[in-house]
Amino acid sequence: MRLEIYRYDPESGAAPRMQSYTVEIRPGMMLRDALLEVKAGDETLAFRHSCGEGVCGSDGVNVNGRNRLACITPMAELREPVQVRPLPGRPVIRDLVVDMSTFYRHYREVKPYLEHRDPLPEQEIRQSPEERARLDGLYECILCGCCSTACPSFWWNPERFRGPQALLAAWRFLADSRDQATAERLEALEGPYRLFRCHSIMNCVDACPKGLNPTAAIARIKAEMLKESI
Amino acid sequence: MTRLASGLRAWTWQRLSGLWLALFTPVLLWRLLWAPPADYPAWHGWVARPAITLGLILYLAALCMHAWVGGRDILMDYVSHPGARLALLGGLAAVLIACALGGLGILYRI
Repeated sequence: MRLEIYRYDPESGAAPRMQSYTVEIRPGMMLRDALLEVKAGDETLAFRHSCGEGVCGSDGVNVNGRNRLACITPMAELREPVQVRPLPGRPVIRDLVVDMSTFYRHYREVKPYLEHRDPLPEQEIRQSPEERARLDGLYECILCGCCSTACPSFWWNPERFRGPQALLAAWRFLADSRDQATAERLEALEGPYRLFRCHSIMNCVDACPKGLNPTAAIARIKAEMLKESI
Repeated sequence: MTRLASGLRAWTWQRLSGLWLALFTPVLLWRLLWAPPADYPAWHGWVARPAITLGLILYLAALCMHAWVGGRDILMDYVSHPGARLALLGGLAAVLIACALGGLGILYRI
């Protein structure tokens, strides 16, 4: 099967190019396996990967125009030639490796941890099954970046728009019954850019390899903000 | 900038204006396409009804507000140069104010 892989080394001064490789496909082979075979024959190819099980979120790439995790993308499902590019909208460090520092900064900015103001109990802070269920579809995010780098609003305003991943994380803590910083969290998202650059394009929903729905989470934040302001 | 262009306020106005546009547009379409006034006096009489006049004034305001928030969103997304963005926002505001005043002038003369 033929792969066309984006190659670029900014330090070399040469323009980016697509390089063709041929890989023998095995049953059950994932794109990550194919990239590892390519790398075995051409060790200059750079890409991130780690767990190989869709858990660590390291190997997000753009495959035939869609952001996916290479380790859980079966080669058998892909149209030939398989075009593999870096996640869009981020500066390329080399080949398929992009600079995700802005993405992580937005994640840090939403304070992705519980803020509990009351004195902590002796044991755990209890939740009812219903309260715990509100976190389903939110906590599973693995920070692969497939959603935010598929979002046109994040492409246009990467420094100021938080992006779907960080906003999903923001709602995950707003929705948590144990968190007591709702007002501060909502205040931190007010303004024309951080939250309200989302126009419900829903590329994030299409791209998320875990099947999560950042657009719905963003809508819940807006509704909560409206409720708090009345 | 943040207070003037508050995200929540703009978003809320966009939804409220969109709601009125969605409700009143079918009324206008029905009257103008399926039961059009036979002549100018008939049209004048319909528009001069207080409920219709009020509906049209609100429609005009909602249309301009909706267009302002939508246009502002587009300019915030696609025009990064502050000077160019400010000039285009000013131009958009001028066009919308002119349209609103023109529309109100027509309704006032009725």
